[in-house]
Amino acid sequence: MKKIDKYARLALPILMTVVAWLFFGVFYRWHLLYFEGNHLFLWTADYARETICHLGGLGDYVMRFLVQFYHFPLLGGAIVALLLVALQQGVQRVVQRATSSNALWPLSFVPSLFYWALLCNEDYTPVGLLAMVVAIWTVVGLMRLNNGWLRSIAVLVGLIALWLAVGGGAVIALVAVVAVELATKRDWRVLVSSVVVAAVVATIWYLRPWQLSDEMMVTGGIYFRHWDIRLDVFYKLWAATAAVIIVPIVVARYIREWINVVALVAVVGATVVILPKHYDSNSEDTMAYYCLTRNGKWNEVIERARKHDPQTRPAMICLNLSLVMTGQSGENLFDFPQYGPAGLFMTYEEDLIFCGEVLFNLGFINEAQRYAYEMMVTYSYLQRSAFTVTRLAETNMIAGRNEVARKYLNALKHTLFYRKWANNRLELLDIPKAIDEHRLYGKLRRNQPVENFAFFSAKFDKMLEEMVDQRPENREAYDYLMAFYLLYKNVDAFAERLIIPASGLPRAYEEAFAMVCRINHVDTSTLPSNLNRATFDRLERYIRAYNLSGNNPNVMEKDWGRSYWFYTNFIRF
Amino acid sequence: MRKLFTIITLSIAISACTSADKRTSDQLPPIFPDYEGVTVPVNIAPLNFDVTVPAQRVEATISNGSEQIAVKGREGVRIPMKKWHALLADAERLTITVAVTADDVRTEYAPFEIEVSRDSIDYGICYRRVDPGYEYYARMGLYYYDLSENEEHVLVENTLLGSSCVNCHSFAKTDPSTMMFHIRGKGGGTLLHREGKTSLLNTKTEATKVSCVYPSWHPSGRYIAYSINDIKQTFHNDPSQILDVYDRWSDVVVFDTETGKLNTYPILSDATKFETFPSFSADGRTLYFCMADPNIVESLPEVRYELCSVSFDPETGEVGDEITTIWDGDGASLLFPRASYDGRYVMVTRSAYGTFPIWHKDADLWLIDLRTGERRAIDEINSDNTESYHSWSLTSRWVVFSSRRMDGLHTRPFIAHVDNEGNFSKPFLLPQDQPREWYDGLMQSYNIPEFISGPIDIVANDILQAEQGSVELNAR
Repeated sequence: MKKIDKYARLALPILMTVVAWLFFGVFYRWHLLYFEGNHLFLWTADYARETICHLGGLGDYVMRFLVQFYHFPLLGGAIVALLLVALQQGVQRVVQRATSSNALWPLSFVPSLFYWALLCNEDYTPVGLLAMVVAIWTVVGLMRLNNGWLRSIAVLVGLIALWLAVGGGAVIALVAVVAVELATKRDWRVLVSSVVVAAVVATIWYLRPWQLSDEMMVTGGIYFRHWDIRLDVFYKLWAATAAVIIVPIVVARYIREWINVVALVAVVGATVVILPKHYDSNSEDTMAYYCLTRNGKWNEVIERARKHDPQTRPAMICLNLSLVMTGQSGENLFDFPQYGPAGLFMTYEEDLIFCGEVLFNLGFINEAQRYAYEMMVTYSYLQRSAFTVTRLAETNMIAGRNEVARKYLNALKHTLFYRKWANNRLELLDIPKAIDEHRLYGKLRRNQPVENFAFFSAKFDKMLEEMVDQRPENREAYDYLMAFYLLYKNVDAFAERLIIPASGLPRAYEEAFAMVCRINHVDTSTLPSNLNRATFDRLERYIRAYNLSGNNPNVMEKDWGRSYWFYTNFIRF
Repeated sequence: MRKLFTIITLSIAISACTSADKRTSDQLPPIFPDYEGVTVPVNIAPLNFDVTVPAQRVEATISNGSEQIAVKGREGVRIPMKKWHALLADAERLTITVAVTADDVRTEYAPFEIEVSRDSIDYGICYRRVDPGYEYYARMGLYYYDLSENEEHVLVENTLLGSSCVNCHSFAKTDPSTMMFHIRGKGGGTLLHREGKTSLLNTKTEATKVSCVYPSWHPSGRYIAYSINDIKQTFHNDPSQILDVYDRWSDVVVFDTETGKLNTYPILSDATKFETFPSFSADGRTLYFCMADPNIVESLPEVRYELCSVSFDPETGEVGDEITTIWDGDGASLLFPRASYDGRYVMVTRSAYGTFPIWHKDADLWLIDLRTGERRAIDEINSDNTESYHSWSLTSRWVVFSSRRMDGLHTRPFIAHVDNEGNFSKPFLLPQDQPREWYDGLMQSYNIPEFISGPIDIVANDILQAEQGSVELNAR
């Protein structure tokens, strides 16, 4: 039993580090990339000043510095894993020091596992984790001071400084200091210092030197990315951390090795049960779609969808956009399960992120700019983000607002991983006609509307009609509009807009067109010769199969599930 | 002999080298902000500047004719506060010589002059800093800036108020102890600070339907005229435009801070007209406002506001029964009327159409002489880009206005001097300690720059603990 306990104490932290690293670096890599893209760390004095000069600001600054390395998910995963194990080791050492034993050491994993689960939700930032790591290791440092006066002064100064630096996470340091002191030396000077720390914090809180609401004062640092902070979660986390420090101290004398092994089994068991529940595969998949779409990796999006159907509406939008961007929507739109026009666009109130990509790539540059701006101020309310600043630079370049673009690009020059990108674009700004001749920006500039019209996201199909009327050469907008018609089952509008090229029609368009012809009793012999007559024959076979199936989608799906006819007959939205 | 030879050789080499590394230029120095030919108040803070070319070293000599100070820096110069103020105290004009060393070549540029006006400027300006965004917003705040010290102070940031929007700060004749601003969002209202008390008022009534919006304090500090507006936005797809803000309806009301009554007047609540942007005259006996015909609101580019006035009785809070059109705008829209405190001028923003000129590149500032009725575009301070909100200093010798001239999007405050004849000097950008780093990095706009005659004595707890109340409707 002793050996199991001993080896487990050595092996488990290593195991947790490796598993956490793989979890975040491999299985949650799109989360890390998405998270990094929604941050922007600038190497400027103003940025440092602005970030640091509030309660918990130093923690924010350090963590934002680290988050930029999420750009490489394996490195980002390593950062998270090391923070988690540092927290566990800190808690274990504090308890060890206080009890002079390894009583209930498996409980030291609880705060780390709690935070691990939190980080599965991108709304929680790692700033709170960093705060707890710094707090617990501050306690470890304080415990090394044997001189009572020195320790009491260090507690007084250190804990106030800690609170100012990392915010609310520092509360566990105060709890740990008091608990350890009571369990070990019971020096009244340290206990008085702890009370003074609490009093100073309360006074500063009351005087409120920062412009922070009560809720924001609790964490200080940006532990949660929304305005409405989920404080209850942090209260639970801090209470759990306090408990795993205090309980072993109180019950240490009753603990035997077998109890540690039981605790170990309980912690490992709980981990195995709880963590998978927090792994959000849908969100990981959606973020993968977003990151690939954001970088114009259209074929990778389609490949991903071929392996595994998109599970969310935003992912479906990314897929359909990719099909349009690669010119495959006319052919392959119904190779994938379509659930209606909702898979093409969402309203402004529903989404700014994914539809921003649609707008940008279809030439709605002003709107793409608006969406990027709104995303910037709503996603991470106290900072800029790489995704949006790069997009704002692009939209302004395309729209000819060069000085504004230059401002964003100059900001990006102060980053580690976007500097090169920014310098390349700054060069474009300095060369006349360079943007016009640019493969992407030139095309998007030419694809913009010529005449002004007001934009309504709820009527995106109408916006597309306006765009196609003004810019018939905007092939992507045309295909997107046709996809809208098809998914709306508005075949009349589809037929009215349909252009039959010399090479004939792609499969989905031809299936829709054949259906229109049959509904309108068009004599197929009068149709252009470049239309594939086999499609018309297939339609007849489909109708026969449909009649034989008794309107049963399960029977029809195997042979006809990828046809537009199946979609029109069986998909409801 | 050998020593002498070495010394002579080295001397020749050094002098040759030194003379080869010095150049003079008849060009003006490439500095940011542009201070060449501007007029500044005698009590302005140091006009620090940076060079806009790569530099190893920047040197500047600033002379007032009898004394001079020499400063140097790497990319710009930071002028010591005390020496600067001492230099300005006796100056009529400053002559500034700038030398820039780059690639080991020292270039001395042609000197330029700055006029120093004996007209002091007010203590500072108060403004909102906010992203020039659309519907949503992130961090924003109201700040005030000490014009003699180059120091920004926080009045309120929305992080204090749980994501609320703060806007429309306004002062009675620049008095920071008689002021207000709105807090929009959960638990919001109009924060009124007057006679040492701070209260948070709900200004929405059943009859007025919406909360009060654009304010103007009566010079007595008793009344605040507001417009009440149903504001909407529309978004353009033409790359040369971005968005427009417009009203679906608007009226003008007057709040009496002594009685707590919100006065409404039939003449200023005409359902067939839009009335907005009220502004009291210097003597408080006239209320200026802008008015448009709503029948053409279906086509926003056709909506044009004209400048009107109505008499106001400060004793009773009553308005006259006749509206006078001061200027119809000659085919353009007139907005933000602001009367100078000496009673001589009204300054307006003139734009092709609509009610929100900050998004209109053509928007310019115009001056109306109330004595002669003459009006003119203030070409001395207008630019090719947007000029919009503006306010007068207490002496009416300075104006601060917002302009998008720097990059077309981010609004910045500029200050200009007005002489006895109503001529404006070349404006200068609000000075900063680190001007280039600050303005290059700042992705927010300066909104509603208003002069204030002293620091604002409101702290965070005053706002959080403000006494809550509501206005009482008083239909006149």
